[in-house]
Amino acid sequence: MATKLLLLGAAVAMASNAMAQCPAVAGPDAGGTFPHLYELAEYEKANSCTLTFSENPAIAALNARIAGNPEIKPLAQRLPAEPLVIAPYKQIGQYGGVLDGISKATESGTSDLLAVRHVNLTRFSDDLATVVPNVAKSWEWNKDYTQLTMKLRKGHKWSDGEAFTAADIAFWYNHLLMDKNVVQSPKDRFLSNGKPMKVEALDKTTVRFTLNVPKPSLTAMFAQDYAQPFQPMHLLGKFHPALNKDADKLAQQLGFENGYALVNFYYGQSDWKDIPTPLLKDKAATERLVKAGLTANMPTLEAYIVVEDTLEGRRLVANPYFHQVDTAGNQLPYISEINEVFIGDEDIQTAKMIAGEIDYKTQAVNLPTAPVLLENKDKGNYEVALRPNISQTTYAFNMTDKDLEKRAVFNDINFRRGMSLAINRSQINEIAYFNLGKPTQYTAFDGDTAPFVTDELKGSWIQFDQAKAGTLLDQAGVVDKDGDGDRDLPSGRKFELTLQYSTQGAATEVAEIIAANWSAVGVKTSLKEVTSDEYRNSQSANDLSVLLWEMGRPLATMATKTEDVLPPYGTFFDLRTGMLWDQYRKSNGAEGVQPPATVDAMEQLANRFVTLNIGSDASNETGYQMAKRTVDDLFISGTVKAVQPIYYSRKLGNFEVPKTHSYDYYWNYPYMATQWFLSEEQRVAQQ
Amino acid sequence: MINFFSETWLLWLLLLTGGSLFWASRNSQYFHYVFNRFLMALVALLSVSIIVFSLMEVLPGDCAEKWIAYKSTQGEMITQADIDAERARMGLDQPLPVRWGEWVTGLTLKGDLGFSCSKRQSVNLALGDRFWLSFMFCIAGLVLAYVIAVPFGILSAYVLNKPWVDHNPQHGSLKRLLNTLGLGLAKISDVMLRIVSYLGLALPNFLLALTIILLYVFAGEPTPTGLFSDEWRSEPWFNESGFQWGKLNDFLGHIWLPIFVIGWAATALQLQTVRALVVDESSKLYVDAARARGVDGLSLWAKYPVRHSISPLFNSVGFDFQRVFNDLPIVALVIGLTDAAALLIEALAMTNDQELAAAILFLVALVVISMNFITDIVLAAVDPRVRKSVMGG
Repeated sequence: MATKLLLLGAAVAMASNAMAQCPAVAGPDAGGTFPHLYELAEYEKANSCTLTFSENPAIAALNARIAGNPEIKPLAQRLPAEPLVIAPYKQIGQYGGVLDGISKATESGTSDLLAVRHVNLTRFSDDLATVVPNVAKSWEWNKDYTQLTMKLRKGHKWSDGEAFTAADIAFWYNHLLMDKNVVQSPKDRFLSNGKPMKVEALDKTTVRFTLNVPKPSLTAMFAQDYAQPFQPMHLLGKFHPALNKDADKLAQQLGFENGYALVNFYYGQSDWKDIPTPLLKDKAATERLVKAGLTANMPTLEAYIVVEDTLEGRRLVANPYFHQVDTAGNQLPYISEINEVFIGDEDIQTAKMIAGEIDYKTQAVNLPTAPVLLENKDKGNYEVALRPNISQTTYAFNMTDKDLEKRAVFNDINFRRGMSLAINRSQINEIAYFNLGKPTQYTAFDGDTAPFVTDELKGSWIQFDQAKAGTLLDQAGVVDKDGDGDRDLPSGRKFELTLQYSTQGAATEVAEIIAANWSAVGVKTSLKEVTSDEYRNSQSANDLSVLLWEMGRPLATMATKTEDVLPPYGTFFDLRTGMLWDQYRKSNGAEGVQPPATVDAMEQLANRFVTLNIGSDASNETGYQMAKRTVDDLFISGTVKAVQPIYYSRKLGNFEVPKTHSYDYYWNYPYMATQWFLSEEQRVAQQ
Repeated sequence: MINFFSETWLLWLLLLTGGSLFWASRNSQYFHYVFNRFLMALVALLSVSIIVFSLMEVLPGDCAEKWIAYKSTQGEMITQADIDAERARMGLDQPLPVRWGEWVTGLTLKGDLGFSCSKRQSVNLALGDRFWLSFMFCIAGLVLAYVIAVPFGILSAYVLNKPWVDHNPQHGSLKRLLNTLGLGLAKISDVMLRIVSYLGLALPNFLLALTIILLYVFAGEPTPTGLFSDEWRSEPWFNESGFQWGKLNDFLGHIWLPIFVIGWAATALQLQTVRALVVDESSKLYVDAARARGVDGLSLWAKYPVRHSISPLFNSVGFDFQRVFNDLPIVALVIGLTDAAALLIEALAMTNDQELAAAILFLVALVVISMNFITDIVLAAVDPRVRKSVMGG
């Protein structure tokens, strides 16, 4: 018996030798064409080997928990013929475990856990500039960037085992987004020049997007977008009245009003992915669906699928059909389950983090909790990393103030420069951010990740120099006329500023220091805290003289739209200045106030920037020009760029600490949460 | 036909109740009173629905804007087009009277509480058992409060102005010692309870909940947040081997915290109320008269001052419920429990979800009004003084 086993073992060893075992490549610098990624053929060719696949031993049990999912097929039939091979950050992981996380509620504070399971056609690599493949295998642009042709993976399957094809993408666009019964009006980013694009499936694995105007950033948009640009046509198409004439009848047999009602029940009428799943919406209805041989939740391409959904939390299991494998051939994700609990209160969240009850949290971990988190990290066996935010608290003067004299003063560059020099940013850093932030000028881009934003730009007009500030204010004609110690308007009228702010846009400490600093150079400034609603309404109604809110966008977003550098510089929810300039431009000069020439120059730069490929020399050069112009104009001024804590368990293997603490790039999506694993050891995570 | 009745069942139920009360009231003064109360309750509910619905209108922004703004505070980027798209989806372009009219018709016809614009599902489903959960919390908290407050409130009133030591020369020395011990015990427990009850009044509920949870963290125990622990959350109540006692155990291990927290403040207040009522009654002439007749000890207290102090308590159950419910949201938020109160906070403060908030407020008003209605008619039935005064007969 023993001999037989030995022989068998030798035979197996010989057989695998003949096929040449692939090396299990891992580490920070691994990767093929793109960092950490290989296509299967590319990987096998580079190492002249054949990758053999293996699966999570618990996968059949996990599959059984997906209500309505059919019996599991062998791994070879579940993986695509062309899986995406991932080289882990540190090592080949171990299967199993439950990733514990906290959100605030069903639709609140969920996105950093959503990002763990998230997939899209493309992804941003961890350099935050390179767009790399994910669901899409490769893509090609036509010459003028109006036609994007994407190749998908052969044999890619939905989480219920049905084939995923290009038709699922065309279905999402043409029959969900563009059908008023499903989505009332599509979001602007899915349109091209305000009109629908043309999305067609050329064959099973080829999809083509035809745009009305050039938009090279479309691939970057997919890389950042939380919405899933593909939906299971094999399921939803059955109940879609435009595709199946018996749709209504079928849906009515299942107890729904009509086909659209059932489509909406699954799809949720929205692209937010944290909307209640059918399991939460109406559990009884999902039981009817399962009885009829359908899945309770919509099948997904993501790494995990929701199997329980209550108002207290969600539970997810690994998708048995996920399209990624590691370099040793193990199907990803390593971690079997996600357990998401809803905790609304920040103090309880902190208590749970200190107790080590969760494994990972970024969103809604605020700087004031950093000291207590750092103090207890050995007790709870976790690490805390402090990473810069992308945006920062900025202020602006209203360039089209209703008060004409104030408007003239605000339009004087000397005034804006003087007021900027009057601010003691290191004091702000010390008091509001425990000296962990960095005084930074506003450059429209995120200065920490956009390569062309120089230190010189970031450091312009931010030194604390009250004497020079005074001189500049004198030059602007803002001097003390009546001898009461405070500066007055050029006409001699009293000059007083009211800094209205909301704590959602700026910390009270920041507002207090700015007001005190300005008063110290003679510009009397008082404070008034208002609700965010009140602030936003008065800002857009052009009622405020000073604006104070968070601003700053990542490079990838700046490359998709021009509105952040043109009046009024932000949406209803951001900081806005120059409302009347905007009115003038929108009405072609019929109403409003004519903006200065620099706005037109900026428009030309911005219009060019969005047609350029991120990271190219031309793009970097144009980006630099835009950042420089932003600083030269100083319509908006920066204060201090803060940091925020990122929390992760020491048991979380292959965790790459994100470069920024931000939603942009979709939290940890660039850092490949699918290759995280939970170790038995107490410490595997890097510090 | 069946369809028609299932679409309008609540209306028929209301009409049937009203009709039979009216029938009964033709030759009964008591039912005449009940019928009047029934009509008044309905009118009160209708006005409540108008008030709660239009209150939401006064708040700036609507559901689409608020909900999206709330999303944007999570880091997502929002444009005006997004808001318009959501607003159109939510049907917020209709004028207020139309929206209210539709809401109130659905409500009176079939108990349909409307559609939650931020939750994207019917309010009945979104609320689900949550309202009953909150209701049971409040009732459990109230029961806890009454069970503690009534006996100890009476005790507290009893020992007021009593000495610590029995000096009665008529008592033998053993009896004096025993009485002194008894008095001392009663006095000490009274002082302790009063300290605890003042603490209950002074400590904010959320702080109490936070403190208890922190104690768990420092003890290294899993925090008792939510309704179940992980282990039991997805287990069914019944499996092959019958009822799962472990799940009940786990449930009770979690449920005590919210009940205790909201019960404490209520207990404190009730204790003071009972004490004041009993003290007030015990110094009245009829008690002195009874004492003069030789009634003494427990029978004196139970039959005279206590008996008369209890009915005002009974009368205020509805208001107590409402007061306890007011404490619920913040506690629910702290212990991570999504009950109706937590949903109300979300609908009011974060998403401006008119129909959801209106539905919850309406249900709370419904409970208060029904409780008052029931206590009114029960008191009128059992207490001749009430019957006489309200019916003038």
